[in-house]
Amino acid sequence: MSQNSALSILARDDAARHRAELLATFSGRPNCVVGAFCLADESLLRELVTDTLYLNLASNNHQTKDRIASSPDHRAKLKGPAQLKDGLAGDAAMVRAFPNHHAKYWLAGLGELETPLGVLFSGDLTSSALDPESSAGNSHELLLVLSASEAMELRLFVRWLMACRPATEVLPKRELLLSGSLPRLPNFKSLLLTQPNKSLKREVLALIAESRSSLDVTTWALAGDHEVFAQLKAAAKHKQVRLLIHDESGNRRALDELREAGAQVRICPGMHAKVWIADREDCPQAIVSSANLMSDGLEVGYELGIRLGSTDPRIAELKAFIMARESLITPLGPLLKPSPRSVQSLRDIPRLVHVAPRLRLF
Amino acid sequence: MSNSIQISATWSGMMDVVALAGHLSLYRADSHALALLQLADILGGVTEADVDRVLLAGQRRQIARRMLEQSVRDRALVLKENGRYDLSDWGRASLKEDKAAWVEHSEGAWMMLVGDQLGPLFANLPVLPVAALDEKADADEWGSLQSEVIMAGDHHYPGLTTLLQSLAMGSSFDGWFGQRREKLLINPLSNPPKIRRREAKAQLHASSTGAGIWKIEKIVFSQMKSLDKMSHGLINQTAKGVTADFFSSYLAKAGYTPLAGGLFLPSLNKLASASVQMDAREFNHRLSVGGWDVTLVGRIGTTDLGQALDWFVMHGLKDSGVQSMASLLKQAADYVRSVGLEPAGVDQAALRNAFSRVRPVRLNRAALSRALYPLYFEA
Repeated sequence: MSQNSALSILARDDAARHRAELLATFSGRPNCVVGAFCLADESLLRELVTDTLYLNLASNNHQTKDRIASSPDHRAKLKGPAQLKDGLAGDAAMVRAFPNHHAKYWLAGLGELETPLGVLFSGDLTSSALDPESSAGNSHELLLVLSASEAMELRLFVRWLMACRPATEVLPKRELLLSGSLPRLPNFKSLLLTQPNKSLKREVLALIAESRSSLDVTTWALAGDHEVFAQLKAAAKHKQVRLLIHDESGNRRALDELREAGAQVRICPGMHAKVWIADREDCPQAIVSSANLMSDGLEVGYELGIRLGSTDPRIAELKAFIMARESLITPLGPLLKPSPRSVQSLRDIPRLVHVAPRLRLF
Repeated sequence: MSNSIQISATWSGMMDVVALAGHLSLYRADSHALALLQLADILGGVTEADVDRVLLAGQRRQIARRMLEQSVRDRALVLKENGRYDLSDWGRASLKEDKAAWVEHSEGAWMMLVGDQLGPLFANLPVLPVAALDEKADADEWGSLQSEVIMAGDHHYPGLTTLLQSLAMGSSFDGWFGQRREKLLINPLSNPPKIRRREAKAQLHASSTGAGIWKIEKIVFSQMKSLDKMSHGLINQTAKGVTADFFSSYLAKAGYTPLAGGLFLPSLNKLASASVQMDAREFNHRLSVGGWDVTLVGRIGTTDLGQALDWFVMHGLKDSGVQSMASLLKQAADYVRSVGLEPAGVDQAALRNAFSRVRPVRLNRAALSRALYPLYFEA
């Protein structure tokens, strides 16, 4: 079995498991809210048995071409307001669109008297994330069940988010004019955000600084124009920095910089989870988030993350998630820095992406 | 929202269709008959010669005579002792008011729906549908009724009795004739008309807001296509009928308790009785009244705020999109008022409790999510 087919099978099995787990966890629970960047496949939400359903997505106006192009389902037909109006928003969910909404979460129990139940799931509402039969293949996603206190914070976050402006209702298409003043952002102990307080970025920087020997990072997209990248690159010079990253041409320049600094890079087509683990062999700490390693994720958007301490049993899941994939992918060799004279053509530059055949979707 | 009553009623069964045989006249403006009446009015009575000379260019004496005889049959002219035909009171009145006159249409048998089975909700059809009877079609289905017996009064045919008595006095009637509503007259010479009768399977739907005016929504004859065509004009017609109060006695008999403002408190432990059935899902009350199946929506009251809010959630909440908490509370308060209670005590907590007990019966998940938005996100 080739590396790539083994990876595909891993992703497909996870998609089946995640779909079943989300259905089992949230069906029969009253009053759910689901957050994602985009929606291409609404079948799971239609299968979900719940009294009320709120769906928060990124507004199309703010989905730049680049961002859509970098979505796992960019070749699938993402549903815009018109399709949502005729579909999900007409009969199955109240749909809201926020600029730069990239947080991914599932929450049941919105009512005050209900016990909240929360999950951070890195996948969007797309077939690559949730349909094991997806003809385009599956992305590598992570599902993290939140503790009771974290779920309570997630409920507060959702309530705060719902009051944020601008946001539009898909149906009816209008701005909300609700009574009362906008709520203050609650003080979160566990949840990490990008907008509005950039606590996610602060915690990632702290994790990098506090890591003693190693850092493992998984991401879909990578760019080198922000502070976290600079700190990671600096860390790679004296710590073991390992990246599992999706095969995306836009990542190449920043990856080269990291490799040059000494980071070990593995290309994992379809890697969509965003995980940071510090010192995974010894007293590990971790952050799981929705944010890509780029300024959009760490400086701009609505993103959501959570920090896991060394005693958190879920860290074992994160390690297993990374190591299962690591074991299937040989790291890229050290970056050869060619002298300018020896470069005759682009073909002389070592190809970063060598895993073949590529998943068609990515 | 108000708790205005909505009544819908369906009559199903074998409906009587009668056919009256006789000369049928139509009331026409700008007709030769009108010209004749106008001439009689101007000349203070006319002779055959007058009509022939003025209206027929002196060439049609026989036609002039037939026109005068027809006008006499139509009761518009009377033959005086001096040999002149003069306006009757009827002819003078119609000429003055309507600038129109009766014109003989044709002789034949005319099918009509008299609506004698439609009591007790309403006495008659608002308009008599009238169509020529094809006497060869379904000839075996038709039987005879004695005109004199009916006219004297027959409790099976109160509407027909009234019609015949009225015709005997020379009265016209409103009918749906062809594609138009017309004033129609069975000529006095045809009185009393011969009556034939048959039954036809029919279903009639009517609705009312309880003020005594009923609207015919639909009527279907499953056996006679010619009747379907005839009934076309009935749809959307209005008729006087019983008011909402008529049903109060039925509700009272079923154990409903009258409240102030014409409201009724249904028995919460017993939502059905022999004569009234409450459909909890649709929040309506079904009664059998005569041959009618009646559905009442509204006019239901309560003395318990929790019950009122449960009803609001189940039946009163509308798909009005996302609204503010203030707007949702107002909607709830209006509903509570409509079921006979003061809305004091209608607050977020009370609404939350109601939503934890019951769910709207008609909203889909998207609409319900929008309706509950303020409760979850505006608190």
